[in-house]
Amino acid sequence: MSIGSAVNQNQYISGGGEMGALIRLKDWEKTSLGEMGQWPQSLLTVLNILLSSKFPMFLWWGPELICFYNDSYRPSLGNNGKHPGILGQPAIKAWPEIWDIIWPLIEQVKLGGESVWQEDQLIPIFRNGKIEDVYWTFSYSPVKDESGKNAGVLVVCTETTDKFLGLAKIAESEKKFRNLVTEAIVATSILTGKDFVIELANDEALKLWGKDRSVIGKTIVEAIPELKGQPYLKILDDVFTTGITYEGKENIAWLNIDGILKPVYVNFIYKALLDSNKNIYGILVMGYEVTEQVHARNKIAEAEERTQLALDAALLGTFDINLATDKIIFSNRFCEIFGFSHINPSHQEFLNAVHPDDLHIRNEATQKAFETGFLNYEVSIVWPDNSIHWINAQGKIFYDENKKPATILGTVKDITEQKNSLQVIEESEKKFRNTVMQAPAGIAILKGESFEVEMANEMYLRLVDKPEKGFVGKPLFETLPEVKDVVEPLLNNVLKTGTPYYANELEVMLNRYGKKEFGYFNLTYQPLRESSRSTSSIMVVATEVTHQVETRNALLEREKQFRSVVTQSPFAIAIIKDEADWIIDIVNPTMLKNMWRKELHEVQGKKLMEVFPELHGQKFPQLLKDVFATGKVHTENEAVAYVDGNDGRKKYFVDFEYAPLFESGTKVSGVMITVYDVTEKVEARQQIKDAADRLLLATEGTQLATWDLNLQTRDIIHSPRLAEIFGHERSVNLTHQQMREIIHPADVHEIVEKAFDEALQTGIYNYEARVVHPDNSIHWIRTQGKVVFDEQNTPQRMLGTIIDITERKRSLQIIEESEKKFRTLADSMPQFIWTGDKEGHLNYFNQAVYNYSGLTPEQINKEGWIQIVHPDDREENIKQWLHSVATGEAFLFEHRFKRYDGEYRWQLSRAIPQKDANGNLQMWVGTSTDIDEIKKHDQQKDDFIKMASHELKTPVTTIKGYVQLLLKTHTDSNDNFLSGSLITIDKQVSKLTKLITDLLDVTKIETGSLQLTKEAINIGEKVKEIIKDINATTQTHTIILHQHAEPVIYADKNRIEQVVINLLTNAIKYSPKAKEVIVEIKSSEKMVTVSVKDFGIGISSGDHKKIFERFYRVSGKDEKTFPGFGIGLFIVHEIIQLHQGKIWVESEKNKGAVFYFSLPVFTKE
Amino acid sequence: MMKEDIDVLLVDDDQDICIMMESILKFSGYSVQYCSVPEKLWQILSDKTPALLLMDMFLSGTDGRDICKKLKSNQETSSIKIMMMSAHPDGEETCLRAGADDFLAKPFDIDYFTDKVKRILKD
Repeated sequence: MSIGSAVNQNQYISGGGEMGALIRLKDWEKTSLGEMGQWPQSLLTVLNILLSSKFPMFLWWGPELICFYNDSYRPSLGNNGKHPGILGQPAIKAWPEIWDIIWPLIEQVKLGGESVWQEDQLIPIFRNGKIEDVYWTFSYSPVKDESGKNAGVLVVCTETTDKFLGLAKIAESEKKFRNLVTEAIVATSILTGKDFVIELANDEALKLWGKDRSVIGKTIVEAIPELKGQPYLKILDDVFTTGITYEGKENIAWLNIDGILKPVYVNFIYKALLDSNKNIYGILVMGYEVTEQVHARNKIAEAEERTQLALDAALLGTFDINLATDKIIFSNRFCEIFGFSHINPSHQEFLNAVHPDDLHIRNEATQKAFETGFLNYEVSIVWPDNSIHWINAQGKIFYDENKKPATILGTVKDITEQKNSLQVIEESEKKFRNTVMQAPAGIAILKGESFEVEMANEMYLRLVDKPEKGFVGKPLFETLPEVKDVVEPLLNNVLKTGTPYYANELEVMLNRYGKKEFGYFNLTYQPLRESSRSTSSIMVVATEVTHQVETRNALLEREKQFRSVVTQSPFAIAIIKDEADWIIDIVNPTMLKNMWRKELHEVQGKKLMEVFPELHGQKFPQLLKDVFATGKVHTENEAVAYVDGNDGRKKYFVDFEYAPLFESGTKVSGVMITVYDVTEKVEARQQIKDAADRLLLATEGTQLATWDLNLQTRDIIHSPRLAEIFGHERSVNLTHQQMREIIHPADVHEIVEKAFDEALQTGIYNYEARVVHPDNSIHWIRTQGKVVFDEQNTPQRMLGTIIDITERKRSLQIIEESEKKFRTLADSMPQFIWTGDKEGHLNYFNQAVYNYSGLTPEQINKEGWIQIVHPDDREENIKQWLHSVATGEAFLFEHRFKRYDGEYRWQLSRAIPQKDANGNLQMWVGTSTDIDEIKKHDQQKDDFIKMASHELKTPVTTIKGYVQLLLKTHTDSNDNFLSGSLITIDKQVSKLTKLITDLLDVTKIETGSLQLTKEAINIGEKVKEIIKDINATTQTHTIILHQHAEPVIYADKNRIEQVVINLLTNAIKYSPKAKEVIVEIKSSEKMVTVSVKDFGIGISSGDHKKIFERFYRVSGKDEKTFPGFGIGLFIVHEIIQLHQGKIWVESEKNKGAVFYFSLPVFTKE
Repeated sequence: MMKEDIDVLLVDDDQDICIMMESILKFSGYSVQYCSVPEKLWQILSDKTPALLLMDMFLSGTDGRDICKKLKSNQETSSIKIMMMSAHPDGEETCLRAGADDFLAKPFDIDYFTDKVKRILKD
């Protein structure tokens, strides 16, 4: 196919954007798929779906896995890469760089038929001019062709490189975070799960708990059993459930340290840890021990208490400085505070003890005191032993009369302890800040109503894309004015109410990374309370979730697209959500209209089983349940489904798929049901199958085997009977090769292969050959078939039948043998033997015929057997033969055959029809016997009788003539004696003449030479005439005629007359005592019947047949007295027979007799 | 030379029959000549012209049917009526086939015979 004819490919593939156009333009003839016109419908269907899909899809088809993809997929191939080169390429050529990765997947799908799902799989491909690391989430699904085989693999995929790399970064960050935890100075641990398994705990934490590393991996209760009954477990539970961070200050915990249950004071934070889906998976515990501070403070408190008594007990150091003299008066305690052991240190000495770094504090405080009247400062002092101590000095200036400062009275307090503990706290706070600074979440502390950024960690700075300098120390909205609208009300509220604020995925517009963009954050605004209990600052903990939100939005968008694809799909699709209730979430119009036959409002959002209660008892609920449970696709073809639509129950055959939909990871959130109504197809096939079954039944009934050979693949499908014919069990499926091997070796090449080659040319397959059964018995088969050609006249299939003809062959063999015997026998006989088919065509002559006629079989074939017959005999011969053939009556004919030397010899031919069991004529078997000698002999005899008759009659003629002449000449004479004598002589001469005539007739009858000269006769007239003559000459009887009809017959007048005279003379002769003979003539439509009734001696029933035999004379004393040869009735019988008539008698002894004869009525035809 | 016309010329090798039949015909008033030696027939025919030739079929060495054919094929004699006669069963058939105008089966009744002659001579 040339490119120019691409227009024609529109009929197969339509639309599909760029890829659709490319597929249509492609010259497919050069690929293993061949031109598009030959593509299977399944491929075209998948391609149309693929091309119309907005999901990236890719298809591998056929044994070579030819590549197809759609426009959505195309960007994944990048620029300067595979597109468009791999379209139509075999997969191995298209994807060499990842062949090792994808080949096993394709095989698995093709062989196993199960879809494969892979998430974020790294499959580097060549694109954009280089090999790039690309991450894919994809499914491989098998695509079946018409035969139900997996012919292709459909890939639906999304490139997830961006998402995956994002996740990787988070993982990296997590790793860093964990390191941080481990190395943190603050006791830090991570508890995961509801049981709070200690996943991580740094050394500080272990030290705090008084436990070693073995606690890691245990639950908190296992690790620190003493916590039972203490409030911490409950707090952990609360945090885990609510996600609300809990901060504890100076809480007392009783911990078993070194085997002793000790109170430990701790400051701590319990903070919920969220996974990427915002689910709480654990708790971050950060804390530090403040036992000592507490103790210290408690001690100070005690001291303060005692301060009340200090004046009395002088527990405070007191001093009194005379400003004028700089003289100092102090208590002993004061001295102790400074570590002086001597009694009278000077003021200067005290001043010198102040740490040089702090001297300015003391000076400034003093200066201030002069202004305010009150002195208050804290400085460190250096003791004589160089140890550093802290003091707090408080005092009051007293003025003289001139209002001039005169003295300062005050107290000094050693606050070293206190200072130290504060320092610890400060350090600890510093450490905490450090931790915070490095925490993975953005943390900042906003102070006061202007929300001055007191502190912001690195992550926070990164989130807002601001340098620390110029951000920290400034009001938040000065540097981030763009967030003011959203954030300020929230912060104000926290500040006002003191209630923490939590926000998930708060959308905030940020001006960062050089542009304005929306970011999404999970935020906590935690009010930080000072001792006054009013909120003065807010801790902001922010985690950016922009990527997750965007990813999810993209997913939502994709789901929206997906829904739209589903809705527009030509396949019936529904999506069921909620594993428990099976809510119908989406259903497309195709499903509603064609399958469910319900309105959208009747189903959407409803429970599947409530909408379709008829599903109970069908298999679908269990399948659906399985798909929800296993997450595996369930596909089934031609399943039976009953659906009660608004128009009643309907039975469907459906191809359907239950495909799990995954929300996150492996959790099945829904099932997509795709249904394709194949009812018509199945029913049509069922009908075809029924028809085929019937055919099979019919063919099995006839013992016919049927087969269907694919000429391309040599795959053969055959009926069970075929295996039987080839000597195997019915259940065996034979291959074409196996069948060939069963053929008798002598017939394979000579017969079968020859016939096969011929069939490919002519389209007709036909042979008879032998097969050798496994038991070595030989059987005959007959194969008949025809070849089915495609438009290119290429043979595609051969269909046909095989029948076992062994029996037939055997009987044919037997017949052949028998025929051979017959021919041998026939040929060895001197008689002519011949056979004819049922139509009368002679098809065999024995050798004697050829020998006699001197003709060759070819000559007889060409000119016909009639050439042998004498020309004079031919017409009658053919007439007689055709009569026999038509009626099935035996053929008997005498005719002359021409001998090789030209002489004709008489033959008597007989042919007897051979009939089958049902009486149907099968063939004729004829013989011709040479009767020439007999014939001549008969002729001689005939001639002799005739001559004898002639010779006998000649003297009679003379006598009769003279007697009658004498009678004539002497009629006038009165000589009665003379005339009486002459009359007697004349009568006796007449009798003699009749006897001679009868004898001659018998001879004629015997030789078959009695000839009839037929004409139309009015038989009534004829009979009347005869009766008249006889009545005239008979004195004893009167013949009475009862004529009921005037029929005309076609007969020999003289012979019929002879019959009537004979019957009448017999009637008179055998009824000597009677006086009447009654003749009756009756006629039906076809026959005329004449009866002659006498009242004579009668004939016994045993003789009724015999009296018509030649020379038969009834025995008995009465009969013997009657003269005669016994040939009269024989002649009568023969004459009637020759006229196709019947003669019979009804009589009883002594009761007279009635002779009947009937003859056909003459018709003009 | 004028030939003599006669009514009937009888030809039969049996002289008794010839005389008997001549008597009957004469009795009936016909002019009759008979010939019992067939060889002499041609000589007689050169003298006489019979209206009817009454001839037996078998004539001792000659076949009456051949003579019949000969006469019927000769223009001079073809007008002579020929009635053949015989006691042979095949007589009537073969004689009529040979061209005879009528046939008389032997033996016969006189009345029958004279009727036949009368009819044929009338035609």
